[in-house]
Amino acid sequence: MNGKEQMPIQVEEDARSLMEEMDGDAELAAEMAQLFFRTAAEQIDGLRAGLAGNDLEQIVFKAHKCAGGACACGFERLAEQLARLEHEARGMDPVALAAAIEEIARIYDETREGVLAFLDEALWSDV
Amino acid sequence: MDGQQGKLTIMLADDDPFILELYMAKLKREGFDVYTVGDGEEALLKIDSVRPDLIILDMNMPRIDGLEVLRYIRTSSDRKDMPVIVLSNAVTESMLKDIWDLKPTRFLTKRDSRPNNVLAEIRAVLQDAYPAVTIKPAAQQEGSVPARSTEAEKERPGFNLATALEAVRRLELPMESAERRQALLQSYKLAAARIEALRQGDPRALSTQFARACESLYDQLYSHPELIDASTCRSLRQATELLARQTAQPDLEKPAAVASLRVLVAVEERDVREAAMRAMERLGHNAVCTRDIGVAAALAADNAFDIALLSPGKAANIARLRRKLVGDAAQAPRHFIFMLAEEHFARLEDADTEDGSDVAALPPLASELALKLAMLRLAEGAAHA
Repeated sequence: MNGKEQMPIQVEEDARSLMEEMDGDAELAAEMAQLFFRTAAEQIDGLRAGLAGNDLEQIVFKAHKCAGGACACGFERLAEQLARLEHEARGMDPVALAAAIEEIARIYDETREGVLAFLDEALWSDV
Repeated sequence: MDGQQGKLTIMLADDDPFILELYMAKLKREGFDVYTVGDGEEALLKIDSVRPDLIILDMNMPRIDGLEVLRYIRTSSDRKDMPVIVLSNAVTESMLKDIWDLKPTRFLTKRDSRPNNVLAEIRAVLQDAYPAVTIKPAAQQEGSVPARSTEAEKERPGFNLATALEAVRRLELPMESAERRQALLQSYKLAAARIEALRQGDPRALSTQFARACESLYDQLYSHPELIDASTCRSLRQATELLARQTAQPDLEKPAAVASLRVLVAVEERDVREAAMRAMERLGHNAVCTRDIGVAAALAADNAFDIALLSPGKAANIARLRRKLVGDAAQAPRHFIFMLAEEHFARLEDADTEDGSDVAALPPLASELALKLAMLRLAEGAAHA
């Protein structure tokens, strides 16, 4: 993705949300985004490990933790999917769980790519 | 507090490094001294040396959890009045009761609170606790992105309309269509807007109007128990309680005309019974609890109850249950609330509810709302009388 014009509307909303929460400071927003995406990547790995080990508690815990960070950043789509997984994981069969986790991973990738591109552009426009 | 510079120190206790970094950055920009700890044990070890002016406390932390830290603070002779904002997500029902008992200054859920909302709460709490210190307004950066809504501007300490609406908006609505979901959200917003409008009006005119507005808001949720989740209840409860306090209504939960209700709880399911009892306790009403309908009937024969909260169970018929309870009673309960699993709703007949009885769906959270609704109805009835 190159530039915000090609970005899905929801991802642009996510990026704006984070900028808002950081009071328009693109540098701080970028720093926080990097930290969140790094932490979230580990948590998504934890979701996959939980699935492989048939450990529902780990899946619920990791989804819960990751949702808290996504909410704080204003990444709504990601937060919603994680919250759904947190609340419904215990009633899902392995196939549905795997699909839900991969959907989260897909939204994570899309959000990460779009948000970082948006912030990159915002940073350059400040120069 | 640094006496010379008037700089306030905030301790952040959370095991999520991202949350710590995020709030540390935000708070430092606001000019606060910030001290972070990653678990409850570290918080307890550092609290006396750091002497924070405010603690932001996660509940679910390793080694020693946030509840123990809060308990230590509230039972310590020289720390008991320290402002504590609980900012957490992982809270069980029983933990929630324990938290409320320890009276945190604020209870915010991570899921429903954006950093700027939390910051507004922090400022409000500090301003209340340290009126002599000027808390500077939110940092405004050049070229900042304007807020998308004006709701943040409306926030007052305590009543957080934006948070309440956000909680409703975030509900995972199992609706068949986007239009229906939108219509429901719109009705929540309208009800909340009515409360907001009343709040800005003349407090002396509020009592009945306010009860009606609250009833409307709760009614929306009551009609759709499938939409209820714990954070919504907490947000709405927090909003209405604090709103009632701010608008000089002595106590919304216990309107003067029905200061203390007598409630008979006859419920077979243990978790439902316990949740109902917790709700009674929180609301300050006198409840008698039994799992046996025969015992309930005997109690009703000897005592006058305002509300009977009954679960017909799998087999019982509602009309028969009501007859059993009313049959020998010197004074029948003034209001019935029947709780049953949704799959048994089909058994309901018009006659079961034509006297105004409420029917609430299990699980227990619905019972809290049903009770609230019933009490507001009773309060309104008493006010009109």
